Amino acid sequence: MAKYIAKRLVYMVFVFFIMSILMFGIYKMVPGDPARLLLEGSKAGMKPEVYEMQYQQARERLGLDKPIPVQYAVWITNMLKGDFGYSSNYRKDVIDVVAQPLSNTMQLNLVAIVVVFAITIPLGIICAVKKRSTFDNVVQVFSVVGYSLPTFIIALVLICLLAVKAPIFPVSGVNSVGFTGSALAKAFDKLWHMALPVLVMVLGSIGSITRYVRAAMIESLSMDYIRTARAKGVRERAVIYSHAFRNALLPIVTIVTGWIMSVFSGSVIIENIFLWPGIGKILFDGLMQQDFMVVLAMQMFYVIIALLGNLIMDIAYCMVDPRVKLD
Amino acid sequence: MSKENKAKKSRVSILGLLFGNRKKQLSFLEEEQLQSPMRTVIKNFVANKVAMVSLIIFLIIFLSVLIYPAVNHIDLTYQEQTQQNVAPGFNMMKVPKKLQGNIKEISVGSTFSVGVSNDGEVFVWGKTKITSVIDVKDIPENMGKVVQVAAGADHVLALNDQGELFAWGNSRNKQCAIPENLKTVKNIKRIYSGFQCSAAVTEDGNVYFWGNTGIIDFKIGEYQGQIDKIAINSQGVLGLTKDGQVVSLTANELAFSRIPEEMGKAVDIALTAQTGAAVTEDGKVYVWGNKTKTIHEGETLEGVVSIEGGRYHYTAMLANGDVVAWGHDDFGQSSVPSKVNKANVTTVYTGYYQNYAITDSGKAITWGLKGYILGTDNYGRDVLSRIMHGGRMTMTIGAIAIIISVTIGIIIGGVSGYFGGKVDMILMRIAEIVYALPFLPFAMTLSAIIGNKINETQRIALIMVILGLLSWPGDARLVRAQVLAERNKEFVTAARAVGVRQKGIIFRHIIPNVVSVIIVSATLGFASAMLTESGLSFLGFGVREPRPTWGNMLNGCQSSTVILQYWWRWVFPSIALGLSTISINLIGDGLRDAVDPKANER
Amino acid sequence: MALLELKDLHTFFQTKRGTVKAVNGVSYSVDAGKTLGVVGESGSGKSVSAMSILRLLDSNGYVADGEIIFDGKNIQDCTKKEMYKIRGNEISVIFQEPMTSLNPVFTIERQLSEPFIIHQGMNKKQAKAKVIEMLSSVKIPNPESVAKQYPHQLSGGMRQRVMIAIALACQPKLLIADEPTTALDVTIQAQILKLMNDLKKEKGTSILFITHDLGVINQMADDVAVMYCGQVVEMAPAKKIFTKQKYSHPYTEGLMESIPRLDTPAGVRLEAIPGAVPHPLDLPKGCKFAPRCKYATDKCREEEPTLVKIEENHQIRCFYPEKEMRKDGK
Repeated sequence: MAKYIAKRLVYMVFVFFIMSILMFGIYKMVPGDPARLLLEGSKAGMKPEVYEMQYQQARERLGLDKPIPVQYAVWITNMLKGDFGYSSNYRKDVIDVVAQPLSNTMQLNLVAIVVVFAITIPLGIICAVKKRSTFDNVVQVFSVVGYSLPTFIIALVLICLLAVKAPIFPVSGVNSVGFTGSALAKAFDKLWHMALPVLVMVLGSIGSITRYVRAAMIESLSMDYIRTARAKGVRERAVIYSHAFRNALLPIVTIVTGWIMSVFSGSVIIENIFLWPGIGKILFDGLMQQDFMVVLAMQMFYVIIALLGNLIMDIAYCMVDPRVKLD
Repeated sequence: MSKENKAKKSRVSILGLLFGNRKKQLSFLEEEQLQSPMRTVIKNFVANKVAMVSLIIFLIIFLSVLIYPAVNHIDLTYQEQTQQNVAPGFNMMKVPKKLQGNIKEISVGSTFSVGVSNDGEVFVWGKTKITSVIDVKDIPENMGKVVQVAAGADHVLALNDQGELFAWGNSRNKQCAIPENLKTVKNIKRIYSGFQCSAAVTEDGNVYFWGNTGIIDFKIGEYQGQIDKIAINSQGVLGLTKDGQVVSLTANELAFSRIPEEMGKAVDIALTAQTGAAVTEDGKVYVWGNKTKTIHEGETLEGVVSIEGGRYHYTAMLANGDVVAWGHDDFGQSSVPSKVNKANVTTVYTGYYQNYAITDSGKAITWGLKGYILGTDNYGRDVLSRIMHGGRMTMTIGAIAIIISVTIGIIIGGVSGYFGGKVDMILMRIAEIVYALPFLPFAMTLSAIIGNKINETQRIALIMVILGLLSWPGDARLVRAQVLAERNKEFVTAARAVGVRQKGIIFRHIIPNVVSVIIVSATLGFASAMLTESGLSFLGFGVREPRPTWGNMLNGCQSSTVILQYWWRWVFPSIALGLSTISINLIGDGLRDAVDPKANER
Repeated sequence: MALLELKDLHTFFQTKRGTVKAVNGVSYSVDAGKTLGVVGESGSGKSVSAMSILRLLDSNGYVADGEIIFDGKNIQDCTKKEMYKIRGNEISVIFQEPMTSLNPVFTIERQLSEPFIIHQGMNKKQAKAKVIEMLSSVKIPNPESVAKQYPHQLSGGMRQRVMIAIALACQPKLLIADEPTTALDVTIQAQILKLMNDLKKEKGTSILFITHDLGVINQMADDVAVMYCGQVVEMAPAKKIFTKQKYSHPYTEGLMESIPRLDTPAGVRLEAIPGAVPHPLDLPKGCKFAPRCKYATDKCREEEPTLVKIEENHQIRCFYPEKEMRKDGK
């Protein structure tokens, strides 16, 4: 297993560099000269020769006078050292711009992921066991609706019902404005603000994950070894949750990693609707404000998330299926 | 026995062995076995009620968004401030029954109308809700016997037989704040309501003007005391003096403030949004200002008695009692129904896009804008038309994106599965990388960075390409798996052993299998491409305003005002998008069950 | 006394196209310590009748009529709890597919220890000792290391031995062997059959042996029930079936003629039964075998024969049980 993981890690590093080149290439396609952009504010009161000098200095400082491969090398070295560049919009280092939103996004997505798992896995199993029953059919209908609707429509409906018609939850923000109170009270206030975005994410994901869990469970319940287990006198509960579910985990692991990645990229929409100051919002604002250093850092973050997701999937595979080890 | 004959015989016996002796009638089971796989798939699909209903719903939506935009062209620059956020419905010109047959006067507002009966009772109908709290239907009590009414864009004036003036509706721009010096004036001849402003003309030729002076810079100067009647639109005021001179009562220069001089003595004036018009003593019509399309058509008329102006059309009454209308006709406001000229019309009231012709029996015949079936948006654009055009855009982008992704998927998957080895490994690694790309952020970034350099059509093409380029790995994997599965099947191995060329046999067996798998995956992919496009457009990184898509129609709808008050702006596009994706997904599910009935048993 | 007795069992499956009568009035019995062989082509209902005994039918299957008496109890009346105690403890099964009948994600030890833990209340440590013991009793070399392995690391024959070990773990009174050797190589098949015979003698287990292979039946069974289209068409001691008899069912006769024998003279063609088993939803009128029977008469095609006791221990479902009385194409 260690050898397998090591192989995957080497591959991941390779992919990381490919992606970083790709991202850097896209970044280089940005129209406009960052050095001129930097001097935009102070241009007016400057003599042309002074401006030209300052411009050359800015170019040097930003490393724009060097050939592109060198620029890439400098950038990636800095990245790996934890220096993500300078945000022209926020006028501070990207790392400082990104730190708090990163934690906000993590909190939001992790809560949503936990809730989704807590609901979908039991639901999918029950549907598989009672397939074609009324309960199953009702869940199937809702799941089709759930995964067919885009998150922003679900968000609009929920805002309408739970924030406007019946003002139960706040529509936006992380904490109430000017909130004071103990740390615990603040945490609850945060959870309260999280409720709507999490609910939207959960409703948007429940459908597809439940369907996958159900399909995997039905597949695994139809296997011969389930009949063997039953013939041994294993209780039905153990047959389902131990024998069948362990096997169903394999396909579930595959799609769940993909889903977790899509939660991170999908939270761009959620964060925008609910004004949740996460990286999705930062990316959005960065693109709007043409703050491309921030955008680049965000893109690399998404790539890392994706690669980590794949690594977790590989490890989970090894743990779930004894047959993988032989590969 | 000849060789040929022998071969024939042996073939017959092989067939006989394969199928047995089928002299008897075929039972239903045998028939099923004999059917071609495609027919079985279709039969299975048709038997699936949910999938069939979905197919019908989808076809209805699909044909609507295909046919409607082909018939009704969309003007992307169209905006209409007087028709903003109009609720759905067709009651704009629904004259109340109690008023019908007893009409004294009607005044046309932007989306509603006000009428007064011969008994002095005031009625308001149409889209009367201005904001969540203001409704022009809330007529003030104790107005006494009302003799005159004037409806504006969002407020109403009324005058009773005592000369008292009343105003209600939206007063944000003080259009309902009757000036103190007017309150004592008892000889008001005529009242007027415009866009966020009001005016009154007295018997002695004075004009009082109040409301939003930021929009209309009212200036009467030397003409105070000489005015007979005025006309108001959303930009300015025109006056007609008692001696028949047409004058502009606006301080600043407007399209219609250059009044032709050679006109002669005028008896009636009217305004549209961009032009002014006057009827002269000798029954001729003069139109001036920003003349567009057909707005000057009325200049050929003769024997005109009076004229009324809408937003972009005029209605005139002739001396012989005929009613003529000309100008824009997008809501049928210039198409006078034939029954108008059959009846004995005494007066015509025109405003905005509505017309009322009052017959001598006090009844109203109406034409023009009845309302919008799905309401209008914040720029006054018809939501239905935008849904239809937006649907065509969303579906086109989704379909082309899917064609791109399926094509790439088939080529890469086919090559990968067929050649195997190193080629397979490299291609599958690439697929893995593309699959691992965070979809939405990446698409946003690409669209933002590349999209800035190009025009709107290229942008739309770019979005299709981005969607297609980012979603092929799934299809490639499916195709590759099919190719591999077929390659390893025993009959292929057997055929290879006999010496049949591998390429032929693989492709002959793979294509039917791949086609069915690809159709299923393309159907489901179509729905998700539509969803992604909508998400991008919703965020502002896809198709941009004013070109509609289902996604960008919902952009800006998350404020609580829109969600609650202008619900039609987000509910209808959401239903259109949701219904489409749900039905496409159900069709996809149905197809999958039809292709692979085993999955159905699960 | 019979350990297991099926009385007029009807097991039906509800499908979209209608009711499939997979088992349509089957009666047979297994005596204590004896082996009953059930023979028939695939789709004849032999496996379904066995799964009815354990009440492990698919969700759309049900016992429509008849009784299953096991050890004096009517299985139909047992509660779910009682059934859990019977399965794997009093009645065990060996399935046909050793490749898929073991759970791929659990070790052999985990799977083999389950019966001990469930039925004998052992803890894991005690069960482990029993696992090693069972594995060696089914002649698996290196039982300690095999116990730690996963099914995909074992060969088909080894897996079937593990299946037998699982089935015999709690020394059941009845072992249902559902085509246990069909998927195996001939040499492995012989080993497995020998193993089963040895274990039967050693532990006195009764066996319900289901197969389509008459050769295997000859080797294993004391009594034989021949099934066709959900019915028993002939029932007799194995000796009677496999020796030249005065009476037999044409189907049994066909089956016997279709197996090569040492005394078959060279150059003589083996007789195959023409046609195929009719579809369960499209059963013929009259005798179910009539369309394929070379002796069938108009009576056979109109009326359905009943199972008639011809002589002691010998029942046949045919209007013409006596071989001499039948003529081709009547």
